[in-house]
Amino acid sequence: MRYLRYILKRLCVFIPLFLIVSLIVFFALRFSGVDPITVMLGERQATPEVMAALRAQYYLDDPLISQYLRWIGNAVTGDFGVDYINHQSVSTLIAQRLPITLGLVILSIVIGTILSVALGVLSSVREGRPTDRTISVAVLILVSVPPFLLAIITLLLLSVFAPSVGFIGAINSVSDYWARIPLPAFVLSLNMVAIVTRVTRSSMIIQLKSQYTSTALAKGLPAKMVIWKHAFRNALIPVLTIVSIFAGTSISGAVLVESVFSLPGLGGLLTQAIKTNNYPIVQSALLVLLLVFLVIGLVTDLIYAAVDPRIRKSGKGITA
Amino acid sequence: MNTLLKVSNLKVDFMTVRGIVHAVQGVDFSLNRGKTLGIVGESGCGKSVLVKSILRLHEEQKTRCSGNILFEGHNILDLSPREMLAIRGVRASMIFQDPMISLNPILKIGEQIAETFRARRSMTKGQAAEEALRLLKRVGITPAEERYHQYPFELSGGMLQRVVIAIAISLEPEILIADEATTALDMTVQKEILDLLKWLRKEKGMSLIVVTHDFGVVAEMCDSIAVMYAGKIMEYGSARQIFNDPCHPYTRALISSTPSGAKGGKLISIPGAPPELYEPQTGCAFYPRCSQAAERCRESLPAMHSASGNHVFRCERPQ
Repeated sequence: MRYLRYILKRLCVFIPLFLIVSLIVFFALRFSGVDPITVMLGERQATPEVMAALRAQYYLDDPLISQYLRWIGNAVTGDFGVDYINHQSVSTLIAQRLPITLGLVILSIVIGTILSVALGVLSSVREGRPTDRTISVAVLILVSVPPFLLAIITLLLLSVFAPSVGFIGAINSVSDYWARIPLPAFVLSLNMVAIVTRVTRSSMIIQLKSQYTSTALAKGLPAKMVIWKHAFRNALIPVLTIVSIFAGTSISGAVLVESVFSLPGLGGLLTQAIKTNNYPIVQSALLVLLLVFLVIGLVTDLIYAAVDPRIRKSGKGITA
Repeated sequence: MNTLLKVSNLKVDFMTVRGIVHAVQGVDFSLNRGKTLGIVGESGCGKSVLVKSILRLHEEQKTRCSGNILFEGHNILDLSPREMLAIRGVRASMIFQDPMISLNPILKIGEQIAETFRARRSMTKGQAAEEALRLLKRVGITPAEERYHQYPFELSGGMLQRVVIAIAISLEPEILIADEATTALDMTVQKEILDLLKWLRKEKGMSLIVVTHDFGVVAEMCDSIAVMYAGKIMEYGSARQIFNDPCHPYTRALISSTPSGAKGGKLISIPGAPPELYEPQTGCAFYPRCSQAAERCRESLPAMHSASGNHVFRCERPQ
């Protein structure tokens, strides 16, 4: 019951947050100084009458605020209009590419979380012993290599040791999808693994030394229960924080990884659109990515509250 | 005799970044069934370390224990982690100083009792919850049904310590160790918790080890008393012997620095502080603070002397 109230409270914060973000996206682009008509015409010449007609067609003479309202109003129904250059439906363009980026981001978070929690907990339980030291060194190496470099190294290694693995062409089927996504997702998760393992380790060490752990041991609980049910659940809060931060940055990481592994995701669409000043695509793709970002924050808050009763009670989250 | 626990020549060293701390330096005592032993001394003299090693609650990596902790003939220090499970909670259990941090902050208090029943008594969820509720009522928590579903941050310190006690006695241990169990509580609550412990001891026939720096607490609870200083027992005897005829200057100083023990209502503090335990001592550890110290106290370690019967003390110049 209390949890339900918490979810409602979080949603009440979420909606205005989304609107503010969309405002920033829209106005930042409009004030960037490139005239949409120039973009539409490209190299072609046009008479003032044609230009006026175009302006009218795209409602560019309306005040900015009503343009914004039209855009956001259509956007919430899933209609992002058409782009200025090829006159394709922006919604279709995004819908084609979103599963790639989303899959990459979500899978990398899942892989990264599982790996780093396993390594971090193992490290903390074996604090100071060879296992712990080995993990620490591996993590230190990982943390110092940027993700795009990791991606390129992976590709090079694959081309030498497993040249049959393909990374080119369209993704037309579900089996294509599952053949192409996991490896880039794994590569994308490695930086996160490095940091989150360290955070998990240190957070677990603090919890394992706390008094309630002694209480749990003294009352006769098996070590496994003390580690996972008691220490780990308490250690989870800082871990969740750092995971959610990485989830956010993995969206921008995904753009890089997509281009290295030639995956047709949102990243490619967005960079292409930015180069050609294709406003409708840029603002809508950005909006979708920011929505993903906000949803990650919301999910984190909900997990926080599920883990920690004190957060449920206070009604506060981390995103706001 | 009915000896339940026999500790002999127990030494505990900690490896720290600053060197090795000799926290417990050869301690002997025994505990009989149904009896209460008080371990008294200032902070930092090794009391907590001593009792924690009975349940092996130290970080094994950084701790070195030697000697014997015999529990019905088995040396606890030699047991495997699996065998320790048969000791913890079942044979001996422990209550810690600060109830605010002794409980898991994110689990319902009822669950923190019930989980032990499920893990160790193979009870079903329902049975365990019922048993936990019964236990909450036994330690005087009202309304138990409501408290069962609350979290530690929703309860007062006294209430929490009752929960901690309920947890500690859930598997009906033969020995209950109370490590400064009332120190963090205010006076009236202290009294309630001590009464609860006394009642449990009587009802369950438990043996109790009470660790405290407060002679008032020992006076109320204990059959025998060990006075500890700098990792050693300085004086050991029955409560009557220690109170009526304290032989060690440290014992006398402790008694007169406690409100209940001070003569004429005047509290006398002991100057200085207990030594750090990095170096093994050559002379008497209390020598720098002792009012009766002589030259030979500094030079050689005082031996245990017998006052009468079981009453022993570690001093060369008793009064």
